[in-house]
Amino acid sequence: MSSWKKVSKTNQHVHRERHQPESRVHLGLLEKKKDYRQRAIDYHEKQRTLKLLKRRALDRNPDEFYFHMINSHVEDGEHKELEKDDEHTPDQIRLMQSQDIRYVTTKRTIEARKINRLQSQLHLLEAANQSKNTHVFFVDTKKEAKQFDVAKQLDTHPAMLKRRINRLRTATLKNMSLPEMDEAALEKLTAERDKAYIELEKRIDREKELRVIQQKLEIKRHLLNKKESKPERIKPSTKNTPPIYRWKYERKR
Amino acid sequence: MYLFIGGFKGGKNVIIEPHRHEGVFIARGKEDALVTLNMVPGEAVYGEKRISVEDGENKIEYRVWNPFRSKLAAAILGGVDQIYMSPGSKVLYLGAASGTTVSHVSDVVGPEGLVYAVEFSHRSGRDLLNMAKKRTNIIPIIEDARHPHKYRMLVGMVDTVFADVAQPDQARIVALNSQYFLKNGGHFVISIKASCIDSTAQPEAVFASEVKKLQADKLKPQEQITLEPYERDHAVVVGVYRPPPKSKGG
Ligand SMILES: C[S@@+](CC[C@H](N)C(=O)[O-])C[C@H]1O[C@@H](n2cnc3c(N)ncnc32)[C@H](O)[C@@H]1O
Repeated sequence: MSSWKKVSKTNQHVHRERHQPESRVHLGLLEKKKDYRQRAIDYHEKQRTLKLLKRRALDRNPDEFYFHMINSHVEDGEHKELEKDDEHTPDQIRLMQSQDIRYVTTKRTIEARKINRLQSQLHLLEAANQSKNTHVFFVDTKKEAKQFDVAKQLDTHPAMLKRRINRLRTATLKNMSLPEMDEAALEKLTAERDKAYIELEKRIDREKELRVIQQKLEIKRHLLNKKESKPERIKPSTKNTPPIYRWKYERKR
Repeated sequence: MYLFIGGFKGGKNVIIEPHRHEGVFIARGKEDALVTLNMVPGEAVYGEKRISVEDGENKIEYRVWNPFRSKLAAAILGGVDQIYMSPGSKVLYLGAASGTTVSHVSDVVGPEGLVYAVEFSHRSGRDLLNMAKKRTNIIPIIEDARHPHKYRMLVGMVDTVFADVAQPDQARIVALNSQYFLKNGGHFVISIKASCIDSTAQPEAVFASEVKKLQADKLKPQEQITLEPYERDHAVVVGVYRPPPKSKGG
């Protein structure tokens, strides 16, 4: 019975289309049915247009005049409209630009907040072991300095020295018992943690990029301000840095 | 004696590793974090994450201690030899701010210990006062650390002075407070932000000159550690105040 079929469907799991898995991102976006439809419709429309144009070319009357003939031209074999520029008042332009900046700023704030949240429980312990810092011990005499033994000073096993985040004391090491491990659970947790670290890294990169965009936009806004004097460019912008301009110092009364 | 607790048996999903500094631990699981044993289970102080672990019957709760926000935590993960804040010790903490780090120091010294937290900004002081209501081992003091005589009646002799006031005259502030409250042979732990002292000089030069200043006030440095990767151009200096004279043999 069809009504029964419908009812039974209400309990079914909705199978959403998956997106491109992480391992296949290099292949680009994964096409969905929705995308395919769009592409197909577009394709057919183009075919129809081509057919129509071919017909028109055949039916052409060489003596006819259209305004379009003088409002367009052919460039490198491509048919192009003669462009009319978009018209905006200076106020409108300023508003649009400030909206852009605001949007970027909001996105950056969101990103920064997410980074903070992730970082609060991911303390980069492996990185901390590897990154360089300087640790100085002060001793009284040259002789002491010569005889200085770091492992002895720290009361730990020499093998622990590399493990800066936690160099356990000798006494603790002797009494320590290792916990029973469940390999599968361990693996799962490690995978989860790695994933979180990857997310953190990506967010940090994105935040950096947004910061550069924000700075670039801000400078652009200042450059458009007619009230300020024309600055001198010290350095052009690069992928990772905004350009540097120097404005003349103007005393404000 | 067990030292690792947690494990992964029976649905537990975090492993707690004891740290070389008593009262501090490292939690590994979904997190990868420095933690302290929460003295007031069930309560977070500043919205930090809590991790509870079942150990047999009783539940133990830890609080995550963010080294990106606390110089002391950064120094601990950097491998500092001593922090001189063992359970039961008394600590004078200068520059407590809202008490994020103070709360962890309070966890570390435990119910037998005591933390005198000095902060001069009334705004941060309010959070500090609120926290002290829940944590009985914190004594909040809203005063300028440059005038220790104003709070001398509140503070007894302490084992350790910790300072993170981020002021150019920090060395003098520490010296003053040590004269009043630090016992002979007691220790100091101070965090130095190079740009706060002299923003034009090289950080190493700033650290060296601060160490000189400390030495002039009988604060004998024992070690100095920089805080990468958590902070740039920051160092923590640990030392001893008026050490007893060394015996000839040593
Ligand atoms: C860098 S913050 C300390 C952060 C805190 N240690 C933490 O990790 O959570 C420095 C604090 O010292 C306080 N401070 C600065 N000068 C002070 C003074 N002379 N006496 C007391 N507190 C002071 C400031 O108000 C500020 O809150």
